[in-house]
Amino acid sequence: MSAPPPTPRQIVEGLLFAADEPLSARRLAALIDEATPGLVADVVRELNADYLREARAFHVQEVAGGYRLVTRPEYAGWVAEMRASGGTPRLSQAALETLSIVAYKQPVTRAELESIRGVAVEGVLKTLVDRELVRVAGREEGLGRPLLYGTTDHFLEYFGLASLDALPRPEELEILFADRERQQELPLDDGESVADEEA
Amino acid sequence: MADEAQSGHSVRIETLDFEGPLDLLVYLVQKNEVDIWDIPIALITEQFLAYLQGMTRERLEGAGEFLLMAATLLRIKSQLLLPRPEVADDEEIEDPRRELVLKILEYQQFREIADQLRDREAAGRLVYPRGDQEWIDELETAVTAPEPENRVTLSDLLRAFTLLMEEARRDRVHRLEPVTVTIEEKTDLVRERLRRDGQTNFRDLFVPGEPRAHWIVTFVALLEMVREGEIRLRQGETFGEIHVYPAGDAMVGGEERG
Repeated sequence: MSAPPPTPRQIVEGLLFAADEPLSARRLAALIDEATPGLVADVVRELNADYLREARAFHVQEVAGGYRLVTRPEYAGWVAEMRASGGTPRLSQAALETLSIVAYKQPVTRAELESIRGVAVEGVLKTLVDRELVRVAGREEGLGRPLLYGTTDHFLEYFGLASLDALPRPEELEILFADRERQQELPLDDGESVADEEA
Repeated sequence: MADEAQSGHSVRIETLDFEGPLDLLVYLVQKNEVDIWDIPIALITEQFLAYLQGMTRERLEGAGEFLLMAATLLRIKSQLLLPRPEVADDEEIEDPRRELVLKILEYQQFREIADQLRDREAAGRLVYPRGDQEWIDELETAVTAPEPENRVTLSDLLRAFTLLMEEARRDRVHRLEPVTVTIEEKTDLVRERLRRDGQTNFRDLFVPGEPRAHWIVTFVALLEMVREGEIRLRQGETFGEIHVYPAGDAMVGGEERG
């Protein structure tokens, strides 16, 4: 008697185990007979439920539009020691700010980035390109045809984002024009004299 | 206004480090607990200039950006002090502070996003993917650490190009032709080649029989791509063949997915 054929769940597990980059549901579905991306998503949920129940040291993470196996945070200490490397250095405040703007405004020119941050970004932009978090995404039409920058898949992987949509939406941010209507109430906008107030 | 009441006490901020003038402004607005929509410009300008004075001694390189902002603040302050011109009642009067306020708010918004990314970065550092390419690359480069001479310098590149041009000069009759190709076209050709083959040799990018003007344009395109960090150049040995890789990933090649 031969063993029963592997189930889609087992095949997905095997493929994720062997992959060295996130695999999308579509790609996984294409590799398995009669599987759809929807089925793959279901199977991944089942796998994660299994891993959780069996208290495994890893689980499937959805990142950069695909799935990958990652160790759970509790094991970070041992894995880091095994690798015996500090890994890539953390990003600086300047790098994170610049990256935030690229993520939301892409494709974006260096001039736009500098206008929003109020400082030169050439050096930090180079660091981000070197670390493959930002890439040249083309050139803007018009005078000088400046380079346009955008985020990479590695950006999504680095920050554990399933897609760019996983970033907070501007309206979810606390400060963003929370009181936008107050612009209408600016003391100077109501036609009263400003000189009196400031004098 | 609050200006007069508070201008007496100076804030000791000279020793703090700021990412830029907007960072400093955000700090001052928060520190003074003023309404962002009704910033006391005189007070903020005074504290801004005080910081600038303490700063110029130590880090002059970023001072230009701070000086520019100081000039903006002083302009707004003077605009606020000027008697307003007569305007019709229905005419919109722009608050001279408005543009600056919107800039501060936009910057603050991205700072908040940056904070969230920092949290995500910290969380991401605790999980390790299987087959982590970065780590594998690190191991590989640790084993086969590139020799110093593997880095291609500008003079290597010029040497290789000059050699090519000299060969071409010997081989062909000199012709004068108008340049009908753009740097962008050549850049696209290089990109296409790299996408197709993953890497290429420097020499192979210069098609034999092509007008030499095209070669020069290709060469300029390559220099531009190196400058922008789009491609990487490596050399097997000194004066050896120069290899061109996409900067993204020389080994894997499949970086662009969508």
